[in-house]
This record gives sequence, structure tokens and C-alpha cells, in this order.
Amino acid sequence: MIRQPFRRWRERTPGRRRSAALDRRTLVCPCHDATLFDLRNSWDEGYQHPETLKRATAVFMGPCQGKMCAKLVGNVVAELQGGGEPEQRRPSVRPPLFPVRMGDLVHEDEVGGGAA
Amino acid sequence: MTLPGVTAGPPASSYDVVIVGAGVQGLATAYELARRGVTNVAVVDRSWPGGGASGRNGEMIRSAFSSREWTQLFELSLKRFAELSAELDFNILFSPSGYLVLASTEEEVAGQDAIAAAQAAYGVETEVLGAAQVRKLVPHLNPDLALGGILQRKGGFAHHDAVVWGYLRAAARAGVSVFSGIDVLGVTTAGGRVTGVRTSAGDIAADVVVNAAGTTSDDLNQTVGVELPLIKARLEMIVTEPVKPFLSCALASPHMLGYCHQTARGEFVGGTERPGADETDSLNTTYHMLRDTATKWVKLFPSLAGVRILRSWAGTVSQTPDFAPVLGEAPGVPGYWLSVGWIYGFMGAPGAAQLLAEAITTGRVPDTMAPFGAQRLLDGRLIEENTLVVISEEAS
Repeated sequence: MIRQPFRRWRERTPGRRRSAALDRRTLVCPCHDATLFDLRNSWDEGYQHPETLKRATAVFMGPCQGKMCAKLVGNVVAELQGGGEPEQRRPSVRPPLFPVRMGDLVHEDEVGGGAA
Repeated sequence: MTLPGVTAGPPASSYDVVIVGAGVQGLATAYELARRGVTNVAVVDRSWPGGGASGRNGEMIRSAFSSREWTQLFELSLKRFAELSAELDFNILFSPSGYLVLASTEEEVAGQDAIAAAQAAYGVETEVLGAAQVRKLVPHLNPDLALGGILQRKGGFAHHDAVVWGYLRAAARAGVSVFSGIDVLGVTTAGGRVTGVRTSAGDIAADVVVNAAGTTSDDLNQTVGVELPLIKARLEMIVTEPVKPFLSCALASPHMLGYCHQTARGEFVGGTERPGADETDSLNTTYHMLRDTATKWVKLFPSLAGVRILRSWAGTVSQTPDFAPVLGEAPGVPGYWLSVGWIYGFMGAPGAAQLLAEAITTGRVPDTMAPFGAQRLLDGRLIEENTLVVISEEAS
């Protein structure tokens, strides 16, 4: 449902020129403050692959693990590619599924090396 | 296009030099060749540049090793890291905030003076720290495991993606072509000499081919009958949520088989290892390494127990029996050059690329590079280096 507000905003502004100032204020990734401007700018520079766009803008890399921004990024990328369906590819999803406290993973018996 | 600087369209039918692998080794070598006037160069990669170990490492940088060979090679690299942002016109986020090799046992403490003396003899400035000094430098360390350390103040870390991108852009500006998404299937030869490569986009002719293919470098060697003792090994790392600055320097713990630093964004990034090599080319992470990593870092930094891990990832390397890279022309195949067997590859790339480009353009092997030739592995003359964060199966 994250997609809806963004789509409505787009539909409400047909023909209106998009301004860089507005793009700069449109947050796509709330974890790292990456804006629509950052995404467009990186894309125009040549970061046009889900993996490289992630590394250039830090989307998907915040404490939400991409759960907040993934759909928005997909929509923006679809638009930048020239319209059509939202981009389905996304960067590799990395474990853990949810952030886990390090202390909860401590397990003395399984440790290798000289850590005993 | 996958990255700024990547060439659109198919490769030409011939180049002066073809470099296999657009990781930090391949791109840095291409850039150094271009600086020396060799610009008709193609770098070919099966994926996006920097997608292998170049973007999966611990991004830490030091030249304070214990052997003359390692120290001199990495000292050259360290000097280059300090110059690169200005030279490439791209901020590589190099933080010379110090590199501490922690001593956690009485035995390690006892060995520190001899290592530091060797480093001084090779022209590398380090400081031997006592327990109190280490705790002052890194107050969050578990005092039971902070008995001493060797600090290289000029060491530190840089952002690995930025280093790759900086070299890529600078090489492209100088006229180098970088191709993404093309598989190199083999090296072609005629009369024992290199004639080019076969790729998924057709044959490319070149008198010089450089193998900088990382994990798959041994597969490429096999296509020209170059038999070297290389294995594929996997290493894993974790990153946590951002926390306030608590660790200013890069830190390696030979006792824990771990290495870590804190990024400018505040994330704690660390990797640990277990004795022996995890021989696979899989990029999946494992639950037992996640636990190994968490257990060791919580032991070393007790306050990390409440900090959450966001991601874990794996990278793979090609590894030699002495853990040192192979640099130079392959024995028996003129025109086929190697920059393979790297496990400290990000750290060593700027220096190694400079040496390799010099050797390729002048035909003379620089003294710093000579010990890393492939012949040493075939003759069983291994380079002895005692400050690596790795333990072979036999030694454990």
C-alpha cells in the first residue's frame, strides 16, 4: 500500500513540470534521507542497475532493510526506464529477515578460532 | 549501463590489452596502463564492475605486516590510497584513522616488539601499545582481551565501491573501454603466445591478456593450461544498524580471526573467520558464521550485544597456499599476465596495479613485485608472513 500515495501524487500532477526543488524534498528512503532527486541524479549519471543504484544512493541499506523504500524505488525505476510496469528486479535480499540483536546470536560452542 | 564509465555497445574486435575482470584489480590496472600511454584497453566483466570481492571486503588498509615482501607492496598501496581522491577526481572516502592489530594473549604481547622492529626496518612507522593505551584508543574493548596492540596511524579504511567507481571513471576518461555483462570463456593462444580471448560477445584479439578475474581466475588459467595451486574460498561479513561513533580506527584481532571498523554513517562492519578455508564459490551466507561473528564481536565489544545486525553477506576469493597474491607473467605463456590469488586484494590493488602496469609496459619486473611471481608456488618457495588474520588448516 506504500505505492498508493505516490501514484495518486503523480496522477494529481499531470502536465505539471517536475522541479528539482520538489524532487529534493521527496523522500524515498526515510532511513538514509535518499530523495527522488538522488535517485534521478544517480540514474542519469549511469547507475542504472538495481545493485548499483542501491550502492550509489544507500536505498535498501537502512535499518528497515528496504521494506520502506522497495516499492517506491521500483516505481521510480520503472518511470526512469520509460514507463510500464513497476520494476520487479531488486537487489539481493540479505539475511537476517528482520534485524537481530547480536547478543541473541551468541553461541559459545560454535565458535571457531582462538576465541575460547 | 550499469555504472558511470561503462561502455555502451559491443567490444571491438581487437585491443592492445584485454583485462578479464572489472574489479578493483582490473580497473586499477587499466587506469595505470592508461597513465602510461596504453589506452587501447578493454576491461571485460561478466557482471557489474565491483560486483565480486571488490565490493564485499572489509575495506581496511594497512602496510604494517611482518615480512619485507608484504610490507613493501602494501606500503606502495597505502601511499596511493592517500593520493587517489585528488588524482581520480572522485572522493574514495579514505579515512586514515589508524589500523590497530590487537594483542589478546601474553604470547601475542611478547611478539609485538620484534614485529614492530621489522616494520621499522622496512620503513613503516608503527607504535607498540600497552594495555592502557589500547583501552584509551578503543574504550569499548573487553579489557580481558585488550592486552596490547600495534598501531599504524597512517592506516585506516576507504569506501570500496568508491574506489572501484573512481578508477572506472578515470580509466574511461583516459580512453579505456569497460564492458559489463560479457562472459570471458577462455584465453586463445597461437604458438604458445597469447592472441586474445573468447567471449560470449565474440572473439577479441589482444597481444596482452591480464587475468584479474578474482574467484574465477583459476578457471581462466585452466583454459591455457596454467596450473597453479589456487582454491576458491568464501568469507562472510555483517553490518549493524548505525550507532554513535565508538570505534575510530580499523581493528584486526588475530586471536578472534576478525577484522572490523565503523563507517562514517555509524554502521559497525565486521567479518570473522574459522580455521581453514571454506572452499566454495557460493555467495550465500550461513547461520553458523552469523553466530560465529556475533559471538566473537560481542565478546570483544560487550556493548554490541544490544546492537542489531541488518545484513550479512559473503564474498569469494581465490587463495594461494601462502595467502600472498600472484603478480606477473604466467610461466610458459608469454603475454598472459596474472593478478590473482588475492585475499587482501582491496588493500593491495592500488600498489599492485601500478607495478603490473609498469611491468607490462616496460617488460622489466619491479623489485617490489618480483617476490610475488607464480614460479614461487611451483617451486614451493612460500612467502612467510605472520600478521595475517587467517589460519590455515594445518596450523590450527
